[in-house]
Amino acid sequence: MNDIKLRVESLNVSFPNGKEMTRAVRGVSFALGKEKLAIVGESGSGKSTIGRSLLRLLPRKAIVSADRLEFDGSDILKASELEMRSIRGKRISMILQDPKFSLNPVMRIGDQIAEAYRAHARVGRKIAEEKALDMLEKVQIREPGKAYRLFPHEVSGGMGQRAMIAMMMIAEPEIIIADEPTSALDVSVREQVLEVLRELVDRSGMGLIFISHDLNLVRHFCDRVIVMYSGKILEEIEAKRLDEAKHPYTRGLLDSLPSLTHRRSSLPTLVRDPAWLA
Amino acid sequence: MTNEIRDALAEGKKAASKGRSEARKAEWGKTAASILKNPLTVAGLAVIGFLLVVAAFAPLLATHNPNIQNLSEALRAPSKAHFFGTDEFGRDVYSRIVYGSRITLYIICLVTVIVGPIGLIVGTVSGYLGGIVDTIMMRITDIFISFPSLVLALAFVAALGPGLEHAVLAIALTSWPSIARLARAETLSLRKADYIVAVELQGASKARVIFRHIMPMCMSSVIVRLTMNMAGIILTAAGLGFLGLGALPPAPEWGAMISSGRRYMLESWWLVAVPGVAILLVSLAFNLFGDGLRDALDPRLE
Amino acid sequence: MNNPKIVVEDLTLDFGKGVDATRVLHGIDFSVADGESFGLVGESGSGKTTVLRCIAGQYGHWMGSIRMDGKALEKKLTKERCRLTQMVFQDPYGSLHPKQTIYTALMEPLEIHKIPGDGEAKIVDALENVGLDKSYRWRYPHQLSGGQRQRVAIARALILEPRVLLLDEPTSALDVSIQAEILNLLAELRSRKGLTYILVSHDLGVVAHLCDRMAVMQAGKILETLEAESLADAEPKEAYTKTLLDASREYGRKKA
Repeated sequence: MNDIKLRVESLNVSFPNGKEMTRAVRGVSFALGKEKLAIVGESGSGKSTIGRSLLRLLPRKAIVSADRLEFDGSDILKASELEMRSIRGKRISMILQDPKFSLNPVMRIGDQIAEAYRAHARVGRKIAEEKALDMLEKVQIREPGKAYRLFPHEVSGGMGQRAMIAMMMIAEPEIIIADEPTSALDVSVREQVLEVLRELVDRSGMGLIFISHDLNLVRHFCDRVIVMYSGKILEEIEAKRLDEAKHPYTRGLLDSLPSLTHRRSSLPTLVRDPAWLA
Repeated sequence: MTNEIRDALAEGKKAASKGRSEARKAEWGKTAASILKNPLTVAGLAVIGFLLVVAAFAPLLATHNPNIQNLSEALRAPSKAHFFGTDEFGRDVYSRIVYGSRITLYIICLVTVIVGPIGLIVGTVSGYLGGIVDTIMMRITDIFISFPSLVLALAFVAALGPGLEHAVLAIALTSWPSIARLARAETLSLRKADYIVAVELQGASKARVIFRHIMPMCMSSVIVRLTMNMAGIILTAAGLGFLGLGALPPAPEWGAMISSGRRYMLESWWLVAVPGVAILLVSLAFNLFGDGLRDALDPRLE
Repeated sequence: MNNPKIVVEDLTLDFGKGVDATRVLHGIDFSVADGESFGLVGESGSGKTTVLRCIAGQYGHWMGSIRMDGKALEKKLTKERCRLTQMVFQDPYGSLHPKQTIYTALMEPLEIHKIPGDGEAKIVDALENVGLDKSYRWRYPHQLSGGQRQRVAIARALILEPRVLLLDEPTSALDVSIQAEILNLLAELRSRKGLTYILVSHDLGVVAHLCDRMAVMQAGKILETLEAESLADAEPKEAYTKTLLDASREYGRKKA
């Protein structure tokens, strides 16, 4: 693996819950280079929490600790809020799940993208607008001029998500975290959005962390896959070798998916071994 | 998900041996615990509790008869004999305050008992049935809302004569619309919920859906709103009493006490200050308690 | 088809009135045999859920005809009508009344229809049928996981003993491992009780697993009907169907 951008060692995130402590992330370690890394898990596995903790976007009561949380040589864990602000959006960006909820409903799409650019580059409005139009073209939106002036509620899910990608990539970050970017989209639109994402990431040499619950989706899209369960990493494997996965949880997840090509009368169900939680 | 399952199973083991009443008690216990977490709410609750105690034990707590005049003792400053001094007729202000708490409580209860059910029923029926029923009920609500309570009270008193019950009726008539609107707003969003559709598809009559399924969901917001309205109700009643439209003399209604004390205010500050502070404390208490109640009952937080 | 259980003919539905009216369903035709599991596949806006709700009786202003066992289904929700079909909703977190225990939720249909006999026993039975211990009847929905809630929703749908179960994306809000359990449960219930299913989903894998035949819908119309068994090798007539199949096949294919 070349140019390690991100090093995470022994990341722990806990949320106080009354008198108890919910441990959302437990001793997670991984590194990210110029690659597409998938973090896969079911709800409650802690995958989204990892994404947010990298950008320090967790609620204040969250307790984050790690042996090492390093981005490009500098320590994120101890960075001040000011330093984080210069990282967020500019060097590490995040794409969220549902453009209905992640785009500002009262601003035109183009303006939001331009604003994202001006937040990190000291340029005038005109230049930012041009850059935004350029980005809209890069995410394969036809007639970018028209799309620029649309409001989020006037565009389809796929287009909104591509606008979100444009917004998050306009400052040319080094790492993109995508949190379930296609889960809210229709199947026929997913491929197009993934195609856009793939092209932009490959072309610019960014690192991508793709958080998802869909094992089948990431096996074709990403280079490496990390499987999470209840806050811990159970398995780390190359995407194209997913069929050789050794951990019973991963195997269980793969086997319990209903498939077109492989019809069975009864789907094997996952038996959770409490030993996995140890 | 796995944490969820573990928790659910653990709770399940606990609940396995319990029945329906136990389940419900557990839920109430949780609500009570979250109410008691906020110190301000507890303070409000304490003052309300205090009011209830004072009203209940008024005869034991009062030092004098609130209505007996003693002109030789008129307008005395607060002292050991008269904790809050005496008024222009020599009546003990402290005892009048204590007995006045009963009147305040009476007003609050009566108004709530009228306003709560009427507002809830009008709101939920109107919101659920929609169409012409909704239109008619909402226009009626609009009419009542546009009356300032004081003006309506004046009209009532002019028509029916002065008296506490008439004042209470007037206040109730102007407070129910806000409850109705609140219940209607909740009902409009609840109407589309899957669990309501499910019970409709089971063949429930409209009445059953409204009373058994929609009303319980509106209950929290209505209770909170009623609690917070009480502050306003107390003030309105005091205002009416101040105008002489509430309780008839010599009833020790706090608002009326302020009114009659006005004339001697400059020399005998206690005549106005003491009932004023009493009104302030009770209003504030209801406001604080209502706030805390809303935080505890807010379904969003669940 | 001899003696079809359900026949839908020229089902048409508009939302809104006059100039603002939008046609959501355009002359839908399909039939479902007794004991068959029929799927309606499509993306958001295709109208598949709307068809289900028309059959369920939630929408009454449709045009065309829906017949069950040869008799036309009334548009009004009478008590008899309610015992013919029941629906399982998509969102397990919204289909149970938050302030009612499971017991109350399951007792409600029994009380509405004044069903004689021991209600408690029926409830225990219903819960066992969906794999839940009888102690669950005293819980509140927020104490249950998504999968458990969906089981309760299925128990509730079956307690009135309908012959037809209408399933609106029953597993799309559930984790993959839980989805498998629920799909197995649905398959088992169907074979044990001889039920007829109409399943709506956007996931071809789920539909292929649970259904015998499926209709592909787009923009309020049925494009074509496919057999589940031959789905893997199917050469669909419509381009849209091909897109859906390719997207799902890609995910399902084991890489050589």
